[in-house]
Amino acid sequence: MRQNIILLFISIQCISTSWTQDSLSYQLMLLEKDIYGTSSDTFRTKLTLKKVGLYLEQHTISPDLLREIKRIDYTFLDTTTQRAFLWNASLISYLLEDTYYALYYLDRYETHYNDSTIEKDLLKFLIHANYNTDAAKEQLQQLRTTDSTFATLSCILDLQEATVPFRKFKKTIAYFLPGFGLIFNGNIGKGSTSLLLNSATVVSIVWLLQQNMIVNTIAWGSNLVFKFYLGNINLTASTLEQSEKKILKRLASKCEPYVSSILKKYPLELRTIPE
Amino acid sequence: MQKAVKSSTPLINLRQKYRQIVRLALLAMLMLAVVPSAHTQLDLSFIAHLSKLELRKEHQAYLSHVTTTPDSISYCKAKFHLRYQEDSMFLETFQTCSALFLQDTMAYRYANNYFLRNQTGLREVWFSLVENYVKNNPTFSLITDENEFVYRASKRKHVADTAHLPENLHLDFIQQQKIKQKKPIVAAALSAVIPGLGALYIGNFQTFIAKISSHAVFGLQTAESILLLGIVQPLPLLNIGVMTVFYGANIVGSYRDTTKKKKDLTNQFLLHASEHYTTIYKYSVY
Repeated sequence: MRQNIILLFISIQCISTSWTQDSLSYQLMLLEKDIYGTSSDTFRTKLTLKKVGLYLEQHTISPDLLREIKRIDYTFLDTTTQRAFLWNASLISYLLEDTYYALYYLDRYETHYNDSTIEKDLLKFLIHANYNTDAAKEQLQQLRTTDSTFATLSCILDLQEATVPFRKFKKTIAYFLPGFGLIFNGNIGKGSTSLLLNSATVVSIVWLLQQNMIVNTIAWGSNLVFKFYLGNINLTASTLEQSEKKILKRLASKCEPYVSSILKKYPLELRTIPE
Repeated sequence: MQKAVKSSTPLINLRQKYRQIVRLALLAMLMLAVVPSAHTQLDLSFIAHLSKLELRKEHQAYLSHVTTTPDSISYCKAKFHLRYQEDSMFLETFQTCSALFLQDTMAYRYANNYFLRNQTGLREVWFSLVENYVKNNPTFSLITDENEFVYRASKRKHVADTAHLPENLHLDFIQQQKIKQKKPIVAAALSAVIPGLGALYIGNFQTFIAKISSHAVFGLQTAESILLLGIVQPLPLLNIGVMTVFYGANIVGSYRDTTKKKKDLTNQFLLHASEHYTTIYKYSVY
């Protein structure tokens, strides 16, 4: 009986130990310990690559993963591994919105390997679309020659150039006719209130002048003009910004199905890194 | 009888074999339980490596698996929390390993410097925790640290001597010491007598000019409207109402400004001191 109790106790301890060993952090730590202990650059690179593999096994695309990727000197890898690594690194950097590294790894990938697949061109287009519209347009043109369905991806570029119609006009008119910038933008309520308040300010200033109340005219006039006239200009600017965000949101939701159908046809997948 | 003995012998052998198997199983399981923890002896250089590369997950995993004394574990965890700026966790853990932590000159100085620029109430908590520990353990000798000295100087009631402070901190220190003498209630009372005087009392000359001129304009416009329209008219009543609100806000504002300036100048002085010492000494937890 006593032996069985001891056996049970030890079993529980063993189970808890093996459970904690399975956690991602623990495995990462063990690998890091090996990395710390080795003096060989090749071995260190291999172990860091194993850490990357662990993150990917757990489907964890996080800044921690990108940091591990950045630690890897890809020149120490063999050709097959190097190819898969550079592709994955570029894709992960893109997913984590690190455009600089996404382009860097893709550029290295293109330099070392002659990859003419549509997937590669698609990734290049998506990375460029984030910051260089001209390069992205060029890339899209190239993609359209291979498959006409890529034309739908131009919606991504529209997102970069999306703006409120007659933005400058609406902003300028707010200086001359307070409230009209907002009215033209479709904010009738806000615009009318602004127009009414500014008109009331002018009327009261005129009335005060007629009453020969110079101090009151200057004091109330300066206060109210600052409050309502400048307030209207600021309000117009912020409302235009909000409208722009709404337009972007609408365009993005319109674009989403196109992008997902393209990605279904040409999936951008992480490549298996050989052991 | 002999037959009975003969028939029971294989049963005894079976039992012995069973016991041997159980013992072997026990031994194997013991090995399994002990072996994984055997390699996790506290390796401070490895911890420093994890900290340098900001490998937080690995660092945390290492600390949860390492086998050493509870005091050492707490000490390592306190340093971990300090390294990753988990202030409340650090202060909590520090209390379980105060002696060990305060003996680590590097970590102690780093914590002092770190909390010196902390603008939340945790700065006071940290320095009072250290003070209390030293008070409760008279035999413990704490190393002298510039950051701690600066903090104590900022807390002294009377104008302290600048002699022991670096030259580029003198101006901040004098300003902080001057403002410390000012009382918010006095500033509010002065502002009630002459609008804006509370601002002058704490050294905000421009605010004083702005406040007194705006009050003068409000007074003038109220007087003008009363003279031209009479007192029971909408405009004079509006002017009186606005002026009363403005006057009240000036008194409350003076009180608040004094409290805020006291806090701001103390924070500024301690922040500059912290930055000054950071440029001289390279503080590090590890």
